[in-house]
Amino acid sequence: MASKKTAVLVPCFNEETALPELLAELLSKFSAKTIVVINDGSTDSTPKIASAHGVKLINLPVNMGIGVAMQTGYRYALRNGFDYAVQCDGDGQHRADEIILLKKAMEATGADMVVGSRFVDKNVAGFKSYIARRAVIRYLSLIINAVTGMKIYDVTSGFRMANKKVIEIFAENYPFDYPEPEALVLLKNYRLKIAETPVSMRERIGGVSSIGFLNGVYYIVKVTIGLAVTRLRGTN
Amino acid sequence: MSLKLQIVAVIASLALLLFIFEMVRKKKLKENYSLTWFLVGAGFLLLSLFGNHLGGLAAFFGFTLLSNAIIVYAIFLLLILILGLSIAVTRISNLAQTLTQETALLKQRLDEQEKTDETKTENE
Repeated sequence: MASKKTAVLVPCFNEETALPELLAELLSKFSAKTIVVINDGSTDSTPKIASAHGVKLINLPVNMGIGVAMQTGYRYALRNGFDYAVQCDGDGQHRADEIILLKKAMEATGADMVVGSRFVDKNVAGFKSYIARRAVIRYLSLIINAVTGMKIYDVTSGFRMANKKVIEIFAENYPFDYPEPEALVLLKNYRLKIAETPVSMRERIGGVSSIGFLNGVYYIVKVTIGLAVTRLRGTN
Repeated sequence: MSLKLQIVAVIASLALLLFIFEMVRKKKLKENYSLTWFLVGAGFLLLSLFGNHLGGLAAFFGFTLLSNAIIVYAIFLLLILILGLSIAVTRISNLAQTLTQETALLKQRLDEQEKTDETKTENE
């Protein structure tokens, strides 16, 4: 795996509070050439911070949402010959020093994608999200289990590592709004293997969650429809 | 329908058709979307001309009042039109998505290229 290239994709929308620390952490583990900040039309100093750290910077001219930003990262990874891509949120909740855990899990399980999970290992300390959100995650996890038969617990985790097969698929086809759960079903349609490994996330340093309280119901309904439709859609 | 109402309705329908035609002529409305609206305008015109003789339209589904029947049909038609618009919006947002992504990726490559060019010039 050593000679293979790994891209760290960091989608950011107004993350000036968390970004400097996150980039510093990432730079201590990865070369600046492999860290890709995808600025999703931020109105704050996010792009300046990224430039100042010398990492790769892709500026979406307008705010398109996390799904579109993430897919832009996958397209970049595909076109620049990366073998692996790590998704790491710009808000600082994912830890640069735990990317190695994703990598190890990928080697150990031979999975095409590894999801960093807050729930697999109850002994891992760290931020475990609020009760309401956990209930939603549990519900989505059950739905995914119902439509695909696979058991993934932290289905909304955006801390993931993907191999080349997955990069190719996501570059072509990635869900837009709240994409994480649907992306899992999408991969299952291609009969790819997904593994989950415990990580300890932090509470976000800056920014706000993409899911506000009022959007909760919309979120649940949209993602439920999305999961079912994605499964039925197959691989076309 | 009174004669007065009928005259107003005919004029309004003709005005609608003329307006749609003007929009297409000025390229403010695409031909493919205008088709539906021409049909709607023509429907209005027919209703205002022959509205009094369309009792069968209501009776067929058991409506007692023609106006009720027309309202139900109109709502149904509008829902279909709105669905068509949602589909059009989806197509356009997919286009916007791809364009935005490709613009961003191109810009990134260009910036990179300029950076390497600058370093080269400095070295010369």
